Amino acid sequence: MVTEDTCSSKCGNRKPPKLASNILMLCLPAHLKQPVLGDLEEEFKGLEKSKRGKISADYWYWKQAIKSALIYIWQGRGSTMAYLLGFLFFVAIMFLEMLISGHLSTFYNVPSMVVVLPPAIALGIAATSVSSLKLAFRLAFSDEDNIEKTDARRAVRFLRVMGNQSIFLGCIGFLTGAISISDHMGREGFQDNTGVAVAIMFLPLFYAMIIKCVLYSADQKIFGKYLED
Amino acid sequence: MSRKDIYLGEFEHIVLLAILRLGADAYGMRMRTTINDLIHRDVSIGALYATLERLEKKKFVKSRLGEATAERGGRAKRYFELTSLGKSALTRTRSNLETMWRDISW
Repeated sequence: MVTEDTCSSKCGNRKPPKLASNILMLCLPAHLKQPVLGDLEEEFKGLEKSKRGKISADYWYWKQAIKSALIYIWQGRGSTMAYLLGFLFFVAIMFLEMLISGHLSTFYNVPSMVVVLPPAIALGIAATSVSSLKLAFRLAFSDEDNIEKTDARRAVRFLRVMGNQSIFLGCIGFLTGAISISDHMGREGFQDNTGVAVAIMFLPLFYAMIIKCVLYSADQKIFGKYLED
Repeated sequence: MSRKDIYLGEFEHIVLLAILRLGADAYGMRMRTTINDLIHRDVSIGALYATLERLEKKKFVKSRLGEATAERGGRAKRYFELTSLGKSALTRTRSNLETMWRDISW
């Protein structure tokens, strides 16, 4: 029995590897997405129908996608992919740093995160709008060409407000922790918990810095693409 | 246009000749396979488009979006053609190369 899947592969109608297409899509400038992906799909289907077969066609497609993606990343044209790669590199380094300096759990504290992230988003929205938030994240992770400068400014403004507010909130969280520790000094059992208390005191500031760092990169990506003359 | 922009690099030269050969059917996939079939140079589609964009910036080629077909996943083709500047650049490069090759014996 020939299922739809086997038929589509035998008839040469199978789609190219989706992950490879998506990676390439992220790297290409908007005006080249249609022709480049179309050309690759056309040749991929031709290869599948030929003697080379399915595995060879997949291999060929992946090779083309990676080589082409690297060219556009290198040229700095696929700024979304460059941003994502930079972001992943940042996360990897952060994890490595945390692992080297102690246990990962030392850096994980939900209340400290709650003190910074939700209020920073809320204050960002309060100063701009929900649509600015959506726009900011859309532009940070895409390479759309037809964006009005006013829209880009709205997105950048949201990222700046949220980033700066997170720093303020981190400082407030830090000071709150410091005041609380000062208040508990001299009480029974304080000495046993001093280390943990001081570590937690620093965490809101730590989270705030990470948030600001990520938002600053997005801000500069959008600014460079749409607002710089 | 700066002075270096009037000269053709080796691959730019090859791409312009591929466009001339293909005529009205000059789009990315056909150019890539033509270059591979004729001179066995397997370039990536990204490298080809990067060169085409450079040539378009130098005003040696112009492009237009064509039809979308099912075999391309409904995506449009981008057709390229030489401009008069592109033809002059090709003629000049050919003449320069012929001059340099003249009287050379190995």
